Amino acid sequence: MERVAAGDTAAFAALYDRHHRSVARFAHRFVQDAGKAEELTQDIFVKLYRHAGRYRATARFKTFLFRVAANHCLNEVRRGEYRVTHVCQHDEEGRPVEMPAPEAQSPERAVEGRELEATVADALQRLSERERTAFALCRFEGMSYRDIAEVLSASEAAVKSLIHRATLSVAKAVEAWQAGASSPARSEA
Amino acid sequence: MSCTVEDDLTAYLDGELSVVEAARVRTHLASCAECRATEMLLRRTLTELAALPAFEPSAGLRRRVLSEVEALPRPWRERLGSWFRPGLLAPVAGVAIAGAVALLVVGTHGHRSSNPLARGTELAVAENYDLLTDYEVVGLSPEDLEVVEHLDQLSKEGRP
Repeated sequence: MERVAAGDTAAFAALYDRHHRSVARFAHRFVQDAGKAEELTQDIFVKLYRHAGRYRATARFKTFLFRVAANHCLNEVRRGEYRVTHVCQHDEEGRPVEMPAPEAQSPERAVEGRELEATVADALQRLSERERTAFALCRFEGMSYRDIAEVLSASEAAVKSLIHRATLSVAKAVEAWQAGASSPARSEA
Repeated sequence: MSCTVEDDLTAYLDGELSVVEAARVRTHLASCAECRATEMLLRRTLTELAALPAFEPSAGLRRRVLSEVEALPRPWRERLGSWFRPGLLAPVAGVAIAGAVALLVVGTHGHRSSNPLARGTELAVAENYDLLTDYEVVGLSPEDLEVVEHLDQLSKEGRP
């Protein structure tokens, strides 16, 4: 980061290569839109470059990075620049559809994967911003509660509560989707 | 749900509880069917979440980010660094010393010439030619001399 702060673009490129996927994944969980997630990721990295001098080696870099990322995503969403939309469409029976295909699988598995992805995305959009942030950092970036507490400037107890509420909400949404998916009405459809 | 342990179930599955807290949850789970059901639901969900495909940003994003960063004004530290790097500073200091010596000589011997400004300078240069070409005395190495020859170009590069 010292080299980045001194304007070393090669060091910045190395930093980008190492961390951009995590940041993009996080932004995508926030806005559920590939184009918007990339715009946010671009903004976050440019911001990181411009303010690299503010980084202090006492803070873990990943924590610093996600603090920048989380603040940026929250601010942009609050400003209305990136209105979070319920991107998953629902069919006449209320089941989510029209999500990008996950990895190549059998057609049935692919459909199931898309529906699960849409269910999770929908559940995430119903969480508070802090719950969503804590959940995304924990579940998709594998960060510890302590690091998430640092990112959110919260206590570990608060983070534990945020993550539990968020995980339980998502679990119930997935359970409801699975119950619907295995119902007779669904199998007839 | 009325069990207070329920609030700890996610942290329990995430391995975020202390040994004592985790033991308390395990003991409770052995006797509470409702919490066991919740724990199973959470455990199943975590497995499914782990299997979700990750968003993969496009390759074009890297180009866009680096282009935007390249287009930004360079940080002041880098700009200052380009002015004060030793390779440039040493020859500049050398030239300044040489100039000071030349002025000193002109001041000392100027009274002998009828045209102090023109002839004095010529004499000073001539009389002290050895000194001026002795690069070691003025702190100039052959590499430094090359830098001095291209000083105007280096100055342009260093300019913001």
